[in-house]
Amino acid sequence: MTPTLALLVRLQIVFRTYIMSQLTAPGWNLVLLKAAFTPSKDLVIGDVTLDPEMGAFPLAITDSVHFTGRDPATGDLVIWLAAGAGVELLMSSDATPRQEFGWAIVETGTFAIIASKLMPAPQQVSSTDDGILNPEIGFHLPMNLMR
Amino acid sequence: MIPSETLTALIAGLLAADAASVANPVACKVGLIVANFTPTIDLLMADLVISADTGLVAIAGVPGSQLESIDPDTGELIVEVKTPAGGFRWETPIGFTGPVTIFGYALGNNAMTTLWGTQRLDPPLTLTDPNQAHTAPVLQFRIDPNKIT
Repeated sequence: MTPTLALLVRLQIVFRTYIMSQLTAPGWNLVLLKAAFTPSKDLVIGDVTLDPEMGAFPLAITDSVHFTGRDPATGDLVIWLAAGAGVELLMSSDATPRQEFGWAIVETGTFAIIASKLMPAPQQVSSTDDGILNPEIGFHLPMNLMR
Repeated sequence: MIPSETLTALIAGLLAADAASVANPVACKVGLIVANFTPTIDLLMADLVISADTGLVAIAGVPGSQLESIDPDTGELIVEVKTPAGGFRWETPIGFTGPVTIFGYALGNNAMTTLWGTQRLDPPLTLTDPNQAHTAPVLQFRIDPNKIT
């Protein structure tokens, strides 16, 4: 069947509700990955190299108004996990200069990979307080998601 | 972000159990669309002509959670509308003076005021006499999880 926008919005809402429950428990953290990787739906923790020196940002619902919405450019329905407030990961102590290649959302405790995102280009970090400001963290549900 | 398969595999089940839409405890209905239409995401119930003729009125489905599964060939996630006892089956009554042409099906809430989805019947079917029956095919929504980014 061809869904209506009303049904797609319901899908967005139930998906958001599930994500909200996961943010509460067990919790999701945003982390940086310091080795090249290819984002995929099958990515597991053994495929990537976390950068613990850069910390972990616990994702939480800080802005319920902006938690869901619609991308004006594409029409996609969007679920934002970190919107508006800005998310920065900082180096906690001096360490070997290195590059960061992307981000992953990992489940607290198990480090199961929930999602991943590649940076447009690797970013260099080299000393304490070097920070990386993250882009939009979330999921896009396009209008042609369902048929 | 690219979500894991573990995450996206859940969404058909979430929608199939959504009490505010297809899994409403007051069962959704399937109606016959009896004027030509083009299925699009922007359709509203008011854009459609749903049969109100005796024997051809919208039929209530099964309340509560609907079926969900994964297509083993395509990997698509499927939300399938449960078929009620007797099926989504319509029959023209004695005295029917058609013709009525069925162009497709509309899934809506019980009051048939909110439209959840449409499906064309190709080619359309024209009922002309009493005792003519038509049964809808399996009605499914198919979700491509690879499109979530």
